[in-house]
Amino acid sequence: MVAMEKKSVFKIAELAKIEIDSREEKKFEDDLSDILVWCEKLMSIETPERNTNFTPNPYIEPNLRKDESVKNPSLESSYKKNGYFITDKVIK
Amino acid sequence: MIDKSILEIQKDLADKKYSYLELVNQQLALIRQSSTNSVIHIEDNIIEKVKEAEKNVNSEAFGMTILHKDNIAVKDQPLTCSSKMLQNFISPYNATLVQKLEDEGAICLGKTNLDEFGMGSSTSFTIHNRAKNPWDKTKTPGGSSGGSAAAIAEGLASVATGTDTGGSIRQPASFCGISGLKPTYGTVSRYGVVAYASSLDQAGPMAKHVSDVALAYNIIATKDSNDSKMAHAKDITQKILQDDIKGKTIGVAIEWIESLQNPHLKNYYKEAIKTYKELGAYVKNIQITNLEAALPCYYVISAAEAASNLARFDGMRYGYRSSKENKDIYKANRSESFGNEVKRRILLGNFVLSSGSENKYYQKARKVRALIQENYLSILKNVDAILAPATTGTAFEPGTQSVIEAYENDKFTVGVNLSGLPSLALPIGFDDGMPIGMQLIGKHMSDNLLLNLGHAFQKRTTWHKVSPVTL
Repeated sequence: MVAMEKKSVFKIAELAKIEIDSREEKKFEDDLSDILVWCEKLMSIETPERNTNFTPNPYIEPNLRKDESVKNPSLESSYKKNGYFITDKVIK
Repeated sequence: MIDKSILEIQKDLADKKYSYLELVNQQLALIRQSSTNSVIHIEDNIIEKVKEAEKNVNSEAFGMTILHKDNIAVKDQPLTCSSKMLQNFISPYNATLVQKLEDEGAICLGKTNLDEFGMGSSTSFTIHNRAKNPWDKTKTPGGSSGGSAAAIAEGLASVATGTDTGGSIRQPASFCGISGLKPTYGTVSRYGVVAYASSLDQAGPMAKHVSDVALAYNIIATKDSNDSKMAHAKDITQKILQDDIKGKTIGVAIEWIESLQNPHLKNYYKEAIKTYKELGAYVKNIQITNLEAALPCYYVISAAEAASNLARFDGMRYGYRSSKENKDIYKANRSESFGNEVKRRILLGNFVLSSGSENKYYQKARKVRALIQENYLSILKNVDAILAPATTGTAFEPGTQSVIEAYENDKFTVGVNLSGLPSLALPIGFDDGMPIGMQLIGKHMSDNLLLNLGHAFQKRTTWHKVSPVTL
């Protein structure tokens, strides 16, 4: 269960540049708690995790003066044409 | 005159049965007699504008009388958004859609009531008196475009504009027994439309006849460099509505219909399905998933965007200015002028964007939004349109619902906004004297197909021609 704390309501109101008195504070605390409990339905939906395992960008221009600095694995197996690395993806 | 379509009015004007000025004067007389609080301001200088419009009798919207929702800018007219914050604000320019309609000869009669900044489903959260449903004045006309819907049902104008962020055109259209289109996101310019939730907001036309909705839509659905989110599509306008819908496939959201509490409503939906079968459409049942999550997803995203959009209202350059000697004048201006519903949503928006909650609520809602959109698009690969209820019942009495119950009113409508799809609401019957509405949902940019489907339905039925006895 999510419950909105008094402290949070005041803090949030401060952020929102809205002044609330103690009567309003109680009302908003109750309302926001109800809404947040209701929003818990979102958590029951399975969503894919953010993919942080990106394929290295094959379009990054390699530093041709210092070939040894190229650590990009997709470039290691590629060949050079006119001084540029050409990867499968680029050819495709 | 009040039940005629614009094409019929144009014919009458051409036959000189009455003049444009006489038509406008009759509509103004009706507005002055009305007791539904649907129109909150009558435009000045109307006679000059009629004279100007009469110079080009062949313009597309010649004979169209129109009312604009009061969150849409009309030059030199009030733009209150039903908020104390903007109660004395006069718009210095026309919204793009207002200008387009004016250029085509439409006459703006005035502004209509709404929930403050479009936040609400009953047109009760307003600094003007609450709007009433012309079919039963104890009930709400819906919201937030309730003033526009009530005005059209009463026959105060041919067309009204509304904005739909989570169902604000379709729900009031259903409650008042009229037609209303929530266009594909990006087809109608939002320039001059006061922002509530920018990724969801879309303005659209409302009228009794789908043919009038189509006429207005085809004028306002044009490119505009002032709105960076305009869809880069070819000309999507369609001059003539088609009523031959043979071979079109309609998917029926059968679970939504079965979930309705009132058995009478179910029968009317079944009748509507039968009508489409008779018109030659194929009908099959479909299932829309994640319905329960769509609402919280919508409220998290819309509140977050509202908190950001409404941060501009500080009362410094324009808007309400507190008379209090206060250290923090921003706070005083905002606290004294925003209504409770607006404050609630701003607080919710700030909370879901605050560190610690952003990942849990806002980012999660964005992911769920993508799933909802995916589900709609996969269904729409196999059908041309989805037929679904627009509301969970007929109009209710305002003030009888809790916050959550009020939010649940948008159950069947928010998914369309989250997905950016077009949806047309139209009347399909009456229960205990109150109108029932359905919605047709289509693929992106299929607005004209929906209008054709709606037009074909209205050629076969007469629900849109029934008027409340209000005057």
